[in-house]
Amino acid sequence: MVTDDSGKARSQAEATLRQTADEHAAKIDPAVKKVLDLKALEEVFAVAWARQFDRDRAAVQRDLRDVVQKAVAEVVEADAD
Amino acid sequence: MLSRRQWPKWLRPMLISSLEIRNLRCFYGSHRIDLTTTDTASLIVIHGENMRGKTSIMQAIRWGLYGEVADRHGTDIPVFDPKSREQLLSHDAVSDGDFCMFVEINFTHEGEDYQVRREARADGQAESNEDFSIVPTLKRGQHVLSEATIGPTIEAILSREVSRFFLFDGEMLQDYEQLLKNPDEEALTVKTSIEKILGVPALGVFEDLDELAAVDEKRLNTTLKKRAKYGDLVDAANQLQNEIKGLRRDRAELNYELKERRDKLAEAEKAVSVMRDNEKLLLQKNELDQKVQEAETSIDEHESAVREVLREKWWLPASRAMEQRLAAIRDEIESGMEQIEANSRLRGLKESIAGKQCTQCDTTLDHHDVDRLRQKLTKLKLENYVFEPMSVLDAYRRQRLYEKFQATDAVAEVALRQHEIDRARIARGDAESKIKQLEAQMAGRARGDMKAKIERWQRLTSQVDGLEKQIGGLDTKLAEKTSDHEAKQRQLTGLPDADPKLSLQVKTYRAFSDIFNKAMETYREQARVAVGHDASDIFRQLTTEAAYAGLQINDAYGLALLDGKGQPIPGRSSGAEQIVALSLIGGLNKAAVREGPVMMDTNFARLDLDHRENVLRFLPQLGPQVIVLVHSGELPKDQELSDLGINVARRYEVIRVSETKSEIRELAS
Repeated sequence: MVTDDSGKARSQAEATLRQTADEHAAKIDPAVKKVLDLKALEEVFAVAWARQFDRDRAAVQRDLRDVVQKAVAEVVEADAD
Repeated sequence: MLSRRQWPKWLRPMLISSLEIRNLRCFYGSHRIDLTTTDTASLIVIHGENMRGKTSIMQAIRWGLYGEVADRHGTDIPVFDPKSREQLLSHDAVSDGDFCMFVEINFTHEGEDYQVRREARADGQAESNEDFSIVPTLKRGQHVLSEATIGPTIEAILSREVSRFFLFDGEMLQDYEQLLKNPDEEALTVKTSIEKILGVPALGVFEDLDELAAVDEKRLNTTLKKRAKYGDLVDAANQLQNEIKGLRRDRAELNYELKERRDKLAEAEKAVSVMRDNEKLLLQKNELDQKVQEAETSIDEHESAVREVLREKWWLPASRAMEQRLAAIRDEIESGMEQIEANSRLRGLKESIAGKQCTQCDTTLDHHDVDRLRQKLTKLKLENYVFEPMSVLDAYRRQRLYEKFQATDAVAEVALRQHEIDRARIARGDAESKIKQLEAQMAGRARGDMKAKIERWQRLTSQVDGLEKQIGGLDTKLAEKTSDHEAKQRQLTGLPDADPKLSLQVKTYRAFSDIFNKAMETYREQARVAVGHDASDIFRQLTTEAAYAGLQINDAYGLALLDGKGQPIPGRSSGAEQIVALSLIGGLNKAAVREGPVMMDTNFARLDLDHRENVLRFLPQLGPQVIVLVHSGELPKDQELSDLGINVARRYEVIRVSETKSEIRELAS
């Protein structure tokens, strides 16, 4: 019998992350909230999940930085406008 | 439901398509097996009696993937070891001067074809393991990956740490519970491995986010320091940052030292335990030597006593024949005496008829009495009694002669002593065979000074304790400094003169780090509970005991059996232990971040038939590809699994072709 369980763990982990972010929404800086609204947290999670078995931490950090910098730049540019 | 082959590429699990083994263990020459399965037939059964090489197939896969194999005691098996002979390279290959061994595994992962090949080769005649060079190669499609990326790529596909739950040995799982009860490194490793299967480390990315925040904080501080008014605050923050760095460096060094000491402590513990085992074995051997000695003394004593008896009664070996002869003579005498008695009666009758008067009671006889006596006389004469007094006398003479050789006590004594000799010989044989077994167990084991080993173990224990205390102290200091630094850094990041982009990046990294950190704890708990539920569901499916309500999982992923009232049941049989372990494997595979092939070298023989049937029915659900290694006591070769509703993709049999060689043959599915 084949079960269709693959991906269940990922959805569960992502849902937990989202829920934690919502629970802490009151404590989050408004500017950071704007970054959150750009789904940056989900993108950071996607990197973290895809790279969870990767031992090359420098490469993982490079990917994380790219995601955060891009979202932050968008927010800063939008604020400047 | 979509078939696995229709799933998105990233979801498609690792599946082994073939395995080729050359000159590994009992597989001399090349042996290739096709391991492809389908969505509807995911099970591969490899039959083989004990000592045929089933475990070597599992070892081949482990060696092919990770380049190392351990025996059931956790000791690494070298490619070549001419001293202990416990080696991976086939002994037949060595005899033929063939010092090349390889394993090639073809598999698919996320929809791509891979081929990993590991080859051990020595040029010329190898004398030690060091003479071998190991060359791994890994191909993704037609692309050959660099040697440096082989390990990380395989780790990312099927991590060595988690592989114990995919490529597992039932015998090792028996110790699973015990393992988790010990608060040592290995239990922690198991817990970490389990969490890795469940995807917990993915949320551990907060450490990377913190590091990225620190880099940006440094850049931010550099720009702020240019303004004199923020100089002191920046200096104070930088000072704290440097102190934190120093503390972390010290901590990392201490951690490294602690790990080293712990490894040494584990070795020392093992050495002490081996010595203790050796002492026990030696004690048993001494007792057995003593038994051999006692048996030999007993044999000598009894043999000497038998010799003493025979010196005096040299004819004893013929005594049985003489006894038979004596019995025959006695029969002869008895028969002679009966003849004498009969003759006396004949004589009496004749006299009674002639005198017409009874010779016994003097009664006068009439003609009727005389006729009756005449008839009796005729009958007696017809019985043909012959009076031969000389033969009776001769028989008496012979009886006297043979009676001289009668020695019932001596015969009994010799028989008793012979029995004792036989008994002592059996005891000696038993003891000698046990000694041989013990000597085989003791061969190659480390020997040495027990006192020195215990002292080393105590010294290391105290060093480990000391290091743990030092690390504890550093952690407290680190927490204080970190809190101070964070407060100062928050101040700096919030300054209106701070670069807005850098400031927001720092805040984002920190906020994300905080969310990931908190989410990890929640997810860790959710995943643990989910594994517990899944394992419990599987256990109920597998068990035939209505009294068991299910399983309860603890923080260390240990599982307790629950009774009908939900109370833990203390103690369990080895069969129940196996069902529990299998339930955990099932639960973990169900909750795992990624499916993979499951290979089980397990022992179903401990299970009764009903449990065995339940387990067999469950096997295909364990994963997309399940390879089981079984002997006839667990699953007879002729048992039709289709009767149980199980589709088998392929069946193989490991056959011994000589004392040291085996072959793998495909059976009809």
